[in-house]
Amino acid sequence: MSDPYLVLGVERDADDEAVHAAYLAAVRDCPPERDPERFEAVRRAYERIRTRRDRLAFELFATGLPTTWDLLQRIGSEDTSRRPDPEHFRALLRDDD
Amino acid sequence: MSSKRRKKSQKTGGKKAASTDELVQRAEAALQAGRYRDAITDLKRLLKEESRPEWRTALATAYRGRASELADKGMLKEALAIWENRRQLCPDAPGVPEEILLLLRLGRTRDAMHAYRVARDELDPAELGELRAQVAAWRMGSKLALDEWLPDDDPLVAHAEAAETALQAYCAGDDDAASQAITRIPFRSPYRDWARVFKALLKGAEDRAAGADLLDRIPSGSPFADVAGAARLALLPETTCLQALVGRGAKEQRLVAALRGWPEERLTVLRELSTLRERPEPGQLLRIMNRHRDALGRDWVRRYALPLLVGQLPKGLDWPRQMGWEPVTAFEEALVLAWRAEEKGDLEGIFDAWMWVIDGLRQPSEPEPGSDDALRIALIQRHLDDRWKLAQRGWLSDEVVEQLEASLHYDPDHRPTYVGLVAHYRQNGDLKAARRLLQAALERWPEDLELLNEGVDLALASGALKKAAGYASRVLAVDPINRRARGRLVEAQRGHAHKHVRKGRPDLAAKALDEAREWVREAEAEARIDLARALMSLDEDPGSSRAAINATLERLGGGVTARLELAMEAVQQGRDPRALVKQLGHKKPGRPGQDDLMRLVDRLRQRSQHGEIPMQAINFLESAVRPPRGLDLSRDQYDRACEVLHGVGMEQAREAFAQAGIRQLGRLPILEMHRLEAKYAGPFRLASHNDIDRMEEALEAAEAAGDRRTATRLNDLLDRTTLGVAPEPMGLPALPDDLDVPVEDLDAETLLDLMRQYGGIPEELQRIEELLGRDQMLAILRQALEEGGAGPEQPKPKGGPRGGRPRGKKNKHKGGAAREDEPAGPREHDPGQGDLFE
Repeated sequence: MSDPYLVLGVERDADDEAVHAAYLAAVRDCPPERDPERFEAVRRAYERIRTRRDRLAFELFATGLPTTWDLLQRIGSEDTSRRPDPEHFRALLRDDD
Repeated sequence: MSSKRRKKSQKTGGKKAASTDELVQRAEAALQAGRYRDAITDLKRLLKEESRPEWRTALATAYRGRASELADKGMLKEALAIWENRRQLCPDAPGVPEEILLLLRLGRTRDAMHAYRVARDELDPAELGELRAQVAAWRMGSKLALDEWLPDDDPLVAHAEAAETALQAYCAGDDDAASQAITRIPFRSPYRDWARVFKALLKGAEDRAAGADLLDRIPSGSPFADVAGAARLALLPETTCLQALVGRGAKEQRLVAALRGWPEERLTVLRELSTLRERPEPGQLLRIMNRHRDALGRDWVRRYALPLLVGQLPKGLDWPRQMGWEPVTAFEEALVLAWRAEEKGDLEGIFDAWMWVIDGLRQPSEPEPGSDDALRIALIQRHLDDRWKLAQRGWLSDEVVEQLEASLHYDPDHRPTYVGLVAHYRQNGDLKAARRLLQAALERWPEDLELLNEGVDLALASGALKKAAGYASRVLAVDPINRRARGRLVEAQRGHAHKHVRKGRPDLAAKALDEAREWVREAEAEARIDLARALMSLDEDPGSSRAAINATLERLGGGVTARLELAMEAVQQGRDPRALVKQLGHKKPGRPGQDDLMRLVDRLRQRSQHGEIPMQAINFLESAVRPPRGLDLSRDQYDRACEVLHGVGMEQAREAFAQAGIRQLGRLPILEMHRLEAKYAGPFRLASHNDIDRMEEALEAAEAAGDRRTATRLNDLLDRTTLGVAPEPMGLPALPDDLDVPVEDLDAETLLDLMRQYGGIPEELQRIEELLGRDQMLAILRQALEEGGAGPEQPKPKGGPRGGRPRGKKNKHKGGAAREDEPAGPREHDPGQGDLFE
C-alpha cells in the first residue's frame, strides 16, 4: 500500500480543501501525459482520502502494510527541488567521505 | 650450510641455469599472463646481461602493470615504490596517467604535476586526453588548485572554473547559471563528461528520456562514469529508483541519494529494508519501524503497526508494550480483531467483531450525530451492508439492514444510504418502511433525481399509479430529457391500462394508453403500447388484431425476446400466455440464436429491475430459453446472463447457460458456481458427492484467484447443501441383523421407527428436523437412501467406522485447522469416520 497522505503530501488532519489543493498541485506536477504512473497513484490517493468520510474509512478499513516507498517517504519526504551539498557531493566523488 | 640456505642456493642455481632465450620466453609469457612480478624478475636479469632497449620497454610495461595492481588493492605506497623503480630503471619510458593519479591520491601534487608536464609532451593525443579527463575528475573531487601548477592555457586550468561553477550553481538550484557554465565547456574539454552529467540532470528534470540519452553518451571508461551512472538512477521515477538502488554499492547509493536530495536516514532504512525478503515477517518490519520511529513519526508507526499484529494474535497485541510503546487500547484491539475477522472471511465473525468496534466508539457516551466517532460508526454499519451485499447472504440481512438504518442517525447526510434502503425495503415488500425513508430523504433533497426515480418505482410497486406519474413529472421538471422517468411514466400509464382491462373497462384502458403515448419517445416503448392496444381488441377483431400483434412483435425484435413481451402483456391483461399463442397460431419456437438470446437477457435485466416480469410469463418462457449449440460468449457474458436468469428465477435456464459456458471455457469457478447454485436452488436438498467435489474444487480455484464473491457464494452453497458443517458421525443405533428387508430397501419412516426402537434417532437428524421441519428431514433421509453409495450403510455397532468421504476432507474454506490461540471453529470431519450420508 502507498499511504495516500504521503502520495499527496498532506498531513493526516488535512481537511477537504487541503486535500483537494494538494491533489491539484500534484496533478500539475505530474500530468498524465508526462508521468502516467505517478498521475495514477495521485488519482488513487485522492479518491481514498477525498472527503472526511473517506479519510475516516481509510483509518478504519485500510489494513495494507507500509511499502518501502511509504517508509522512505516518511523519512524526509523527497523534495525533488532539493540539491546536494557541493562539498558532500565532492567527497562522494573522492569516495573518502 | 643449513638446509634452508642450501635450498635457496639450489633454487637460485636453477634459475642461473636458464638460458637467455629461455628467460626471454619466460618473461614474455609472464607479461602476457599478467604475472608482472615474475616478468620484472626475469627482465631485470636479462638487463643485467645486456641492456637491450626492447627489454627495458618490456620492464617498464611490467612495472606499470604491477604498480596498477598494487594501487587497485589499496597498497598505494607499495605502488609508488614500483613507479619509482620504473623511473630509475627505465628513465626513457614516458609518464603514464596511473602514476600521476597515484601521486595525486598520495597528495604529492608537485610530483604529479611534474609528471603531467612531462607526459603532456610525450603522450599521444588520445592518451593525453584520457590523462586529462582523469586529472579533471580528480580536480572536481578535490578542488585542487591546478592553476598554481599549470599554465592558464592548459585545458585542465582553462575549463576548471566553468566546471566548478556548473557544480556550485546546480547545487544552489541556480539552473540558469549552471546551464551557462556548461555552455562554456567545449566538446574537447577534459570536463566534457562532467558537463554532460549536469546537463542531463537539468534536462532530465523536465524530460527524463532526454536526460538519460545524454548520460548514455558518457563512455563506461570515463572517469565520470560513476557519477553518470548515479545520475541515471537519480532521474528515474521514485519507485523505480528505489527498486534499482536495492543491492547497489554504497557509493552509488549515496551519490544517488545526494542527487535526489535525500536525508541520510532514508538510505539507512532502504538498506535495512533491502535485507528483508519480499514478504517480510511482521516482526522484522515492526522492528525496523520501531528503530526509526522518531524519523517516521510515532503516530504513523503506531497506526501502521496495527495491521502487522493481525497475523500474530493474540501475542501480537503485546508487541507494542514489549517495544516500550503505550499498550494497545481497547479500540485498537477491537479494530485489529475486526481486521482479523475480515481476513478470515467469516461473515458472522465479521459482524460480531465490527459490532465490538462500534460498542467501543459508543463509549463513554453516545457520539453526537455528525461527529467523527458517529461517522465511524455509520461507516462500519455501511461496511457491513457492503460485505453482505458482496456475499449475497440473506439470513442475517435483517440485522444488517437494522444497522444500515441506524447509520442514518449517526450520519443523516448520507444520501446513498437512503436510496439503498428505500430500494431494499421496496424489493422486500416493506413498502411502508420504504415510503417512510423516501419521505425523510425527499425532505432533505427534494429535487434529487435518484430519490424521485425511487419514488416512481416505489409508487408503482404500491400500485399507486397517479403517485408514480406525479413523481415522474417532478423528475421531468428537474430534468426534461430524463429517459428513465419518462419510461417509468409510460409504464405507469400502461399499468393503469392493464388494470382497467382486467376490470373490464377497455375505454379507460384506451385512455390510459393514449396518455402513455403522449410521453413515449422510444420506438420500443411505442411498440409495447401498440401491442397492448392490439391485444385488447383481439377478441373483438381477431383478424386485424392478429396481424397488428405479429407486426408489433417484429418491431420488438422478434424471436424469444418478443415472446417475452407478448407473455408479459398477456399476463398483465389477465390472459393465459399459452392460450394466447395458440389463439394467435404461433408455433412452438425453435432454439433461439445467440443474438436473440443475449437480447432477451438484456430485456430480462431491464424489465426485472422494477419487478415487472410476472411469474406466469417466466414460467411460460423458460422452456424456450435454451442456449444454442456453439454458443460463444466471454466469461463475463456468461456470468451476466446467469445472474439475470437467476434474478428472474429461471434457474433451469441458468444451469443450462452455465453448462454451456463450462463446455466452452472449461470449469471456471464462476460457471461452476452458477451451475451448482442453479441446480440446488429451491427446496433444500443435499448435494451429491460429485457435486460437493466440484464445489470444493471451484472454491479452491476461486480462492486461489482471489475471487471473493464466487468463493463466498460457493461457501454458502456448500453450507446450504451439506448443512454447513460436515455431519458428525451419528452413532446410529445397532439395528438387528435379522431384519426382514435390507436397510437400503426400507422407507425413511420405517427406518426412523426402527432407529427409535433400537437406540434413538441420531442427533444429526434431530438437528435437521429442528432446522427444516419433519418433512424436509424425511426427504433428506429418503434422498440419502436413494443415492447409490450415499445411502446409509447397514448400521454397524455404535462408534464403528462407516467409511466414505465426508465433506471437508478437501475443503479448507473454513480457514483450515483451528489455531491454538483461538476457539475451535466448526469441527472438521474426522476422515476416519463416515456418516449417514456417506
